[in-house]
This record gives sequence, C-alpha cells and structure tokens, in this order.
Amino acid sequence: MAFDELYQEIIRDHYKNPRNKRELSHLKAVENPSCGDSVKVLLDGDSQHIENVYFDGSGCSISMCSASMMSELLTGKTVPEAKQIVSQFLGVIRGEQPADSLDDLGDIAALKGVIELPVRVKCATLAWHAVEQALGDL
Amino acid sequence: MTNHQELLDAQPKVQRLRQDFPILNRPLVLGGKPRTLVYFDNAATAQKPRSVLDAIRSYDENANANVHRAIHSLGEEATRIYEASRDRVKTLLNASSREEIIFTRGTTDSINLVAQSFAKLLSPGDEIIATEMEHHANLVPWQMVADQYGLKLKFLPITDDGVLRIDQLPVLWSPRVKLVTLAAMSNVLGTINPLEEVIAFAHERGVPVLVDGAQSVPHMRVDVRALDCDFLAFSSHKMGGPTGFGVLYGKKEWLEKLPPYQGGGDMIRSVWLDHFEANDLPYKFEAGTPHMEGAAGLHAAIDYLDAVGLDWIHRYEGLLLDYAMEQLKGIPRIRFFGTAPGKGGIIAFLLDGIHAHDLSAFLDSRGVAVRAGHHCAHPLARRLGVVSTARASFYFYNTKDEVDAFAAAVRDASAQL
Repeated sequence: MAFDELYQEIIRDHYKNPRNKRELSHLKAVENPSCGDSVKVLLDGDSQHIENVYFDGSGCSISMCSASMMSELLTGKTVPEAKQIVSQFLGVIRGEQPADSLDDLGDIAALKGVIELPVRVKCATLAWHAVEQALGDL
Repeated sequence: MTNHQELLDAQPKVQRLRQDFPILNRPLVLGGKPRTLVYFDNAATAQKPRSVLDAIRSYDENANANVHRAIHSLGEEATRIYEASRDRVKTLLNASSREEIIFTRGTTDSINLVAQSFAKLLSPGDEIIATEMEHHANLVPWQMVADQYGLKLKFLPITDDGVLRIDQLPVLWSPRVKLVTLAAMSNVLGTINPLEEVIAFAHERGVPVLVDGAQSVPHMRVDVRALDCDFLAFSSHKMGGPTGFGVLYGKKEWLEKLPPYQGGGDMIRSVWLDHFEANDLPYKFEAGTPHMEGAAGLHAAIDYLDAVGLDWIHRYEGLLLDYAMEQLKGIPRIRFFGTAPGKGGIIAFLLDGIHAHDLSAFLDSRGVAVRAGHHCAHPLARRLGVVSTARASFYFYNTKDEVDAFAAAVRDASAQL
C-alpha cells in the first residue's frame, strides 16, 4: 500500500490536531505491548447517555488519530448506540464485516486501509478497546 | 586503501552473492510504483540462500524419516543428515566434542533450557547476573526461575552510549553469584560486549557464563574454546537457515551436571511406568522428534557462510555501518541509540517528533524494510528513555546502493512527516 493511501490528509490532521484530548493521569491505560502505544479513555455522562468522550495517550499516527476520531464519533451518543458503533468498527477492522459499512460514520472511514495491514490493526483498534472497557465499566 | 574504497571494491562480490538469494530479487509494487526491496531487518530474521532452500527440499524429497529410530534406509539417511549437521556446528564453533552441541528450537529455547535446568542446582538466595541490554529471551526465562526458586537477579548497567559498564561487575559480585548471562551483541544497540573480560572475571571465581549469540554467530567467527564460554545459544534463522531451529552449545562438564529439560522420546535411555533414565549427551536434552529439515538447512547455511567467510562478513558489515552513519548524520531531527565503538551492523534511530511506526511505514512505502518497536527489549527502551525506535540491521548481502536509498528515504521522511 502506498504511504499516502494509509496516511490520508484526514488522518494526519487528527494526529496533529487531536480532538477531545486531555490529560487523564488518574486513569489506567490500555497498551499495545508490541510498540508501547497507550490510550486512556474517559466517558462523561450517565449510564444511558455519553455527553463527552476524552482521551489521553501516546503513539503512532494511526493509533492517535483513531482515538481522536473515536472521541468525536461517540460524543452525544446513547450507550447502546456507542456499543453498536464500537462493535461495528472492530468487526470491520478484523475483516468480519464489510469495509463499506464504515462509510456512514464520517472521518473514521479513512482507517479502512488498515484492514490490509495486519500489523497495524492493533494500532487502529487500541482506542476502541479502551472505550469498550470504559463502556463496560459504566 | 580507505574504508570507502574498500566498500566500493566489495560491491561486485556482494552483487554476486545476492544472486543466491531469490527473495532479494522479488518484485515489489508499492502504491502502483515498482520499488526495489531494501531488506534492513536482518537482526529480526535473515534471508535464505538457494542452497539452504535446496537442502530443506532435498531432505524432504529424498530422506524424510524419523531419526534415531527407524531401522530402514530412509531412517538411516535422515539420521545421517541430522547428525552431520551437528558435526558441522561443532566445527563452526570449534567445540571439543559433538556431545556439546544440543539442537533446540532457537536461542529462546536454548536459554530456557539452561535457565530451567541450571536453576534446579541452585538454592534460594543464589544470584544471577545479566545486563540492562538483554533481549527478553535472555531476561524473562531468568525472571521465571528466579520466581520459582527464590533466586535474585542483578543487572550490569550500560552507559548512555550503550556500552556495558563492566567496571560494575566487582561491585555487583557476591559469593552467591552462580551464573552470568549476557548477549555477545545487543540486538538494539549493536554493542559488541567484552565477553573475554566478563568470562575471565567469572571463571576466576568459579562461575559459568552463558552467552546469547543470536546476533554474533551469524556475523562473526565465534570460537567457543578460545572464548571459553560455558554456554552459547543461537538461532538458525538469523544466519540464513530455517526458523524454529537453533543450537545450545554447552561445555560437557556442565551439560552432564544439568538435569534434563523436557521429557519425551529421544531424551531417554529406558523408561518404566514410574521413572526414567536419561539418555547420553547430546540426546539427553533433545526430547521429541526434532526439526530434521531445520538441521539440514542449518548445515547448508553454515557451509554458505563459511564459503563467504565470516571474517569478511564482519569486516564488510562494519564498512556498511560506517558508511550508513556518515549518510544519516546531519539529517534534521535524527537521533541514534547505541554508539559504542566497534559495534556491529545495527542502527537504532528516531526522527524527533515522528513515531517509529510512522517512520517505518514511510520507509516501507519506499521499499525499505526496517524494524520499528521496542525490539523485544522493554527494559532497554526504558533505559534509553524511548517507547520505541526504528532499527536498520545489515547482513553481508546488503549494498552501498541500498544504504543510499535508505538514507534518501530517511531524509525525505524528515522533510515530509
């Protein structure tokens, strides 16, 4: 795959200008042991509704832009909606669901290229595993 | 002759050798453009010459049968091939006897064997000395037995340049130290450690030394009798042989003392329902049907390396390293990890502000394969104060032109990312 196909402008933008990123030093991070990337996710809302999603972490463009996009996408969603989106994204990236099903979800569709790169799947899904845990803890 | 001239003069030989490696000439299309593969991930695994591929195939087409058991023509031939490989390893290492060559699944398996068996001879409170630069394979097996048997691990520190602080050996030493274990060459820093000094110090105190030779045996001549190490572990796949196969060299006196590692076929002399008698060396440590194709392939790989010349390989990789460092130095934002004098052909580096994964993906788009990550040495990465680095590692089939392509791609990454 060409570098520019994976590292699209929208991905570089989220990496350089992350949305909803703030220091969450009190939280435990979800880590990718193969590269040391780490993400923390904080859900702000009640047991039914997510008002805000914040993340903190360090890593490559793919893991950080995925976290930024995830935070935008899940803001304002109900908990069942958020859970559905998380399982849809993870299903697509694992190749279990058609890639086109991400097209209705906005910026995140830019990560479809990762499906062909098994080693980078872990980067793209890191933040989603973190939010999956956070949703489970609600 | 200058080093640069020597590097140039070596290129025709390297080009000839490259013809022996089918994968180095494979087409690569990236983003619709044909690219030339530049394989600089040799510290992870090396490519195989055709003679190795042929040896594996020939074993399976002509000789395959279980070794040491089958009383028929194929069984005899398979056993002959398997044992001939052991003799070949013995001569490569200049070991005293073939009983000292144990076939394993690789460096990791070899070290686990020593850790598990050696620890059974120890008492709680006994100590093992390793270093801060070890690969997980020479760290975690010791942590596991330390936990199991109440042992204490101590670590020789390194300098910021990645040089081992052997001046700290007397400081760490105590009468409880029972083994010293260290890499001959760091898989991240490229540092070549002063094994002779460490071994002399330990032997004066009656303590054996294990050498992790995963990064040294493929790249330089290692003579176990001259070195006087007690154990040496290495892998076939980093020297042009097949994966899943490797060697543990051990001095006979130590291998006789150690209890068996895994139980099963081949490692026994006789078995009753309630007990067994272990086989003689080297079979005592080789449980189960071994990787016969691995042995055939490693034999061919050693023949190949010897024909190329291990001393030449070491020299040539040093020339490539020096040339690569000249080309990379001065690229904006570049930072190197491990600048020990006389180091091996490994360059760990970063461009400040660019994650190693992104850098590696960019280089890959130019056809350049480097490793990105912590290189199976978490504690070392922490010591260096980084999460992950990019690593270019050379083998004798790499060329000056490849270094140029690599340096140009790093320069572009620095400008564009």
